[in-house]
Amino acid sequence: MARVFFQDVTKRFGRVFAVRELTLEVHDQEFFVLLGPSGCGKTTALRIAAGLEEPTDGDIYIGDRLVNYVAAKDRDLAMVFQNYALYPHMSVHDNVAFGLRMRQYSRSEIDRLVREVAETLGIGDLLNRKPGQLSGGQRQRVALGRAMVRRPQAFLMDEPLSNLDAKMRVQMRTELVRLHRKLGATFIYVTHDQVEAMTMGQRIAVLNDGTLQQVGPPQEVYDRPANRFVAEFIGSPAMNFLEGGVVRENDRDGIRTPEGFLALPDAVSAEIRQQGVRSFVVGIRPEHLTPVAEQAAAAFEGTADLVESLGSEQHVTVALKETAIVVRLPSSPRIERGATLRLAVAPEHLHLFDAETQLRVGP
Amino acid sequence: MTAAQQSSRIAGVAQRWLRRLPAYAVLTFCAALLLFPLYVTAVYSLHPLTEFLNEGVPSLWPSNPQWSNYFKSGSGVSNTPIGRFLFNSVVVAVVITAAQLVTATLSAYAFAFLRFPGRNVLFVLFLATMMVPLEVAIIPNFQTIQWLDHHFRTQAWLSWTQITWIDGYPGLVAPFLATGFGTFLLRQAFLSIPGELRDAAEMDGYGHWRFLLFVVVPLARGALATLAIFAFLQAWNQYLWPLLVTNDPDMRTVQIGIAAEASDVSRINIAFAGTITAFLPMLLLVVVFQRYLVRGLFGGSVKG
Ligand SMILES: Nc1ncnc2c1ncn2[C@@H]1O[C@H](COP(=O)(O)OP(=O)(O)O)[C@@H](O)[C@H]1O
Ligand SMILES: [Mg+2]
Repeated sequence: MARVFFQDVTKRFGRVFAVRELTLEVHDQEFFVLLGPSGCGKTTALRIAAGLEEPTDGDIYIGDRLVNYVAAKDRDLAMVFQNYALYPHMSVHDNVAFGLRMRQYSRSEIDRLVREVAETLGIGDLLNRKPGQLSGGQRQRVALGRAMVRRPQAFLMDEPLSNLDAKMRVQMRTELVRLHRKLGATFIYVTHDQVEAMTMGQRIAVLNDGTLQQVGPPQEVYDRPANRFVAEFIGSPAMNFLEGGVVRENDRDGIRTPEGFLALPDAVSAEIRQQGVRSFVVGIRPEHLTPVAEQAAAAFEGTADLVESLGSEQHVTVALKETAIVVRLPSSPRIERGATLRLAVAPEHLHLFDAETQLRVGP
Repeated sequence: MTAAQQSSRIAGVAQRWLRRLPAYAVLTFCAALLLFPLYVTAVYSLHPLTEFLNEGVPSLWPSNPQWSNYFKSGSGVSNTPIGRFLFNSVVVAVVITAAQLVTATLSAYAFAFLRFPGRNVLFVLFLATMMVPLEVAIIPNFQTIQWLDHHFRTQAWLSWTQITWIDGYPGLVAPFLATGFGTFLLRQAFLSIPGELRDAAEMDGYGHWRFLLFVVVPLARGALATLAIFAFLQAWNQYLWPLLVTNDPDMRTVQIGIAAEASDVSRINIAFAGTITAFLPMLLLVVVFQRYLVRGLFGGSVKG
């Protein structure tokens, strides 16, 4: 059993709260992603789990064991570091074997284990090289090998792909997922890259400013962001936001924004009445805006200001009266700069956030 | 290649050399200026004594080289052979070097890898000791050694150790076993070792001692070599301190021994030979480890 459980964990550096009252359960054998912008406390949380950092407050459990006072080496975890942390003066073989040397393995056994891991990772013919003679992707594999060779219960990875080029990163992403399936160990994976989080994580936790924002499967977090921060952080291009208040027009409840009227689904308007929230921030994902022909059906009207073509699709920045919104459209028909666009959005695709608390309102 | 092409290429090379000529002229002049005393010493060390007793300046050319000068040395006052001086110097320099490597490694490790209250204040204090010139510290140091010597001679619970401070190796090396400079030099080198390596080693079950031994020392070997050379050179070239704490000719270091020899005019050529003898090990050291001397002082010696 290698669930990892943070209970009310707080870490303070002087006056800075790196992690605040974090309660989080990572299930056994799960690929769990900690996601958040730089400086939000991801690394600190990981280091606390690893035993490299002591929490100011709170408890850490691995399995059912309280490990607050257990040394890092005795927690049966392995860590993969952002900059690989390979020992530059040792060969790949010795780097991978380094952790075994402290654990009473015989020389031949160490050799066998190192070779086995190297085969799995496809670095079998690099064993005699020094880290300085390897490419970024190869170094990454060596770092993984060093973690794997001890067969730990859980892997802690701190932005392991951030130093790779874009193509290598995509390749390593699938390799890591495959590795996770094969090893059947718990993975806690830290990243600031929401694409990595969405594609790799079975569940993700979004952190901001040391505070947990939301935990859930990636699709759920994407579809129902718990607050404005999560809504804005996840998704690319980012969600559009408009401010407005509730009004009743033509017998329908809706939000009146400076740019137009947005009708709400009945279920949402009922809940809003109940909660008594007055001013809102409305979030609309770029892919949920669709061009329409007649003015009557459109929520917004504006002119295309910037067209970014990605080949498979185009991202159009549409200038409205006061703000601009981004729309994600198929690559044809091609939108010309300056063209007038009328955009509609289905009521069920509106995300409502309380303007004051920034929390999600409605289902 | 046509003749015209070839001649234009030669012209190009000549031009390049011509442009560099002033710089080389200046450098050659400076080198000559610096090496001249050394040259004179070398030549004088080969002259027969008569050369110095004649009227006028001794010749600047070894017209009648006396290699035997190199085997005759030994203080006129005490008859101590120069071998004994050299031996003393080697013992002192080796002990000081080894001790500085150990003390500086340990203190630099603490400053670079451990978090403890007062770390920065303490480090500034270490740095401050670098500002104190040897001459300022020499009297208090001497008094300390004298005090130690006195107690080790007179108190029964100390005297059984047979440690002699005045006229003994302990007194010769004691003030130089640890230096702020060594700590500073190694701390800088250790700081360039990524903290992630320490974390990785900790996860692998390597404590501070093993991490120091298996990771830090191999990675900082350039800086360690630099420190070793500096410590050795400094210890070897010491004059004032060994003069102060030794009276027994048998305990003198080579620099003092040569000075004593030079005070006897009838052995002046032998003193010059001794100077060259004392200088050769240093020359060898500097030539062999030149790159550590330069690199250690002027940049990251760890990155590799
Ligand atoms: N050793 C430390 N000393 C002081 N402050 C730290 C230390 N480690 C992290 N912090 C602070 O804690 C916050 C979270 O840092 P970190 O966990 O590294 O964030 P992330 O990995 O999400 O970028 C930051 O504000 C950072 O400056
Ligand atoms: Mg980080």
